[in-house]
Amino acid sequence: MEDLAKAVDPRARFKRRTVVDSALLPWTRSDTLLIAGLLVAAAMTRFISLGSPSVFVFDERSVVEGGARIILGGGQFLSTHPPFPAEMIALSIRAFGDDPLSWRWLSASLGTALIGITYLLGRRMFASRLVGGLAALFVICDGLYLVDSRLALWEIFFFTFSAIAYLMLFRFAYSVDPFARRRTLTVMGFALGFALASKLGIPFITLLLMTACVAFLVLKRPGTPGASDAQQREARNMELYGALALIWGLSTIIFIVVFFPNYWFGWWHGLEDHVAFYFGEYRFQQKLQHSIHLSSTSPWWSWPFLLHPIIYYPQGEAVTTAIAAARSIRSIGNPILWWGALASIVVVTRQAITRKSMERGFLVLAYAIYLTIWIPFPRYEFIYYYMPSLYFGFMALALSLSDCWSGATRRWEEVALLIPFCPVLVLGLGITVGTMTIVVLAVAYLALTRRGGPKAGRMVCVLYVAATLILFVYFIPIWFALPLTPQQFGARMWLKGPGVADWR
Amino acid sequence: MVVNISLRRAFSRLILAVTLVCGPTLAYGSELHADENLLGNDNLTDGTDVPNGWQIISRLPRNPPQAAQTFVWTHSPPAPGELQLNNRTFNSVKWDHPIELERGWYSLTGEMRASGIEPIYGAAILGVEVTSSKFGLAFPDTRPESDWRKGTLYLKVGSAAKQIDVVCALDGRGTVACRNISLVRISGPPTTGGRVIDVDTVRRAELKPIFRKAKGHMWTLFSTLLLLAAIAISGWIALGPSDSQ
Repeated sequence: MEDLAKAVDPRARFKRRTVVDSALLPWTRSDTLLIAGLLVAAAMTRFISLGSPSVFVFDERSVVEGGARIILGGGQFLSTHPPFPAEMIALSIRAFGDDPLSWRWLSASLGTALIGITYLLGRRMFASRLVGGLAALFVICDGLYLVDSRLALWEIFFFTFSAIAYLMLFRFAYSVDPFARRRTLTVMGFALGFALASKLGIPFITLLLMTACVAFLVLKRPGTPGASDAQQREARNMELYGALALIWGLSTIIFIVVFFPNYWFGWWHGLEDHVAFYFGEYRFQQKLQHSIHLSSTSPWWSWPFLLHPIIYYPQGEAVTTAIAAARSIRSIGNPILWWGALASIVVVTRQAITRKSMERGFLVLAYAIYLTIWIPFPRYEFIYYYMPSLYFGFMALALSLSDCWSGATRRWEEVALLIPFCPVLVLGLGITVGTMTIVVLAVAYLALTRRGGPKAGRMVCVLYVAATLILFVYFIPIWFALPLTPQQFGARMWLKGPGVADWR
Repeated sequence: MVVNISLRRAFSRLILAVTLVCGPTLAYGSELHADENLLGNDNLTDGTDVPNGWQIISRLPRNPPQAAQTFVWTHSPPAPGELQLNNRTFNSVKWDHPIELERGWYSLTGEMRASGIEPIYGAAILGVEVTSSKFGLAFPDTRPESDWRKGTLYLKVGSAAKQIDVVCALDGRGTVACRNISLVRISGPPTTGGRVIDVDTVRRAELKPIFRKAKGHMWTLFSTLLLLAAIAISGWIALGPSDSQ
């Protein structure tokens, strides 16, 4: 129990972190160089050839035409998702003109910022530049995060503002300065507000998760030395009220304020109309429960295994033709990262229990909540609903690989992390070459384990980074809509059915 | 002399009237290029693998031989090019030309020939796709088997530029061919009747089901915002350093 108390004692953590932060992990030139390098790499992948395709891709039509252009034309905003992304795109259209680059540069900017935020989050959560750097690299090299950062869609707005909220949560956890805590929660309130204002539904889960975590930290915070129990209880209750009031007050204000165009143009006359709008939206969503299941939909359990991506562009297209090179955008993630994230979540779950680690527990909790929330949903679902969970999967993978590098992992954990290479190698290289490569890797790993030390773990880490980069380059044509011959296209469609396991 | 003055005045007025009426009309007409086919590639003859501006889309995966059999582009000038679709299995396929339209009126014309279209579940469509709904040209008959038929569809585009897709589509089994497809801007609503699609209305209908008319009161908005601001400020104050700190 004492260990548990230490594990959840924020002040104890703060002290430990203070030592680590100030003595071992101050902000150094390495941090500056590393984050600058990551941001440059992210910007290159997000901004290059951003105007292509020059037509609406996937839900861009809803965001731009059903959102931004409606607002610019003084129409009533009635899209399912809140209007903040559409408003930003409307401003961009007003400033720079109505073209694909103008619709998408905001997503690309937020997608780039997300990389920096991920580095800061990983570094802060685990006092490790390696964790932060790897997590940021994984977000750069993943197909879904890349595609969503290159299109005028809602998701990247939500992901980026949510990531800011996560970062603020861990700043709050390690801070004992009341002024700093208050500033941190203010930023969190704004970030959660903009997340709520960007997408319907799932940001509310983020708000609840952050609220629960902040409440947990406040209630577990040790009292002031010398104060009576009653004083301490009163101070804690006051802090709890303050934290919740600040977060919910700010985030709700922002959520309401982003709907101002509907009031400004006279479509809504009061808050009752806003409420009525959501009753209508509820009825609309209920209708979707009975609608047909499109070929792009997939059940929640299939997402972690990357079984059924969506064709973003051209919509409805599933063709590789003899008469034209195929150009398409598909929501295929980087397979080694997706399957590695799944393996690492298993590893980190066990570590969270055995080590009683708050940070690891948070990773597992957030991953599980964002995934299981979709289980009771009766309407059709898409693979990109998994992305909030995946973010924590990437963080867990970065943490596991960092442990591998430092020799802090057990053998079974390293083996678990190596398992995802089997499907990657077999599907990517074919059964013969793939199996031979697996055998070679297994022999190399066993040889390194006999030598002792962290070499075997480092091999796992190096393999992941290498595979991530190789697969990133390999799948770029699928994410950038570059032309592929039928053979090249077919080679990248690793799963071809039957059933839900189909990438085509 | 009096007669001459009257005649001169009448003539001047006539000139003025003609100038006022015809001048802007001619100027407007010259800007519109009323006969210009906005799809370009008039006879579907330009292009390498597919006609310029067109793309091929299939709901089900097609391997290269199947795709080559499904999507056929014939073009041997001076005969007009044709876009053909052949489905042996149940599938939805289309030749698709996305285009962005400014506010105004448009006329889409074209010719279509179909055969072997399944009576209930199948459809051959030459027309436009707005969001996820397809609207075909109005043809004089709706037989599943037909020789070349010419049809027209009028589009009204409202407040902002709208992207639509001109499609030659086939749902289900059968064969369809489309040619002489032309989208031109027209100066106003059709005078001869015909099928009219209001793109704005279609979009609005697809965007959202019916919402009630606004009945709210502005005080509810401002009082809620004031209440939330008060809550946030009280939270800010509550989080300040306590005496014991």
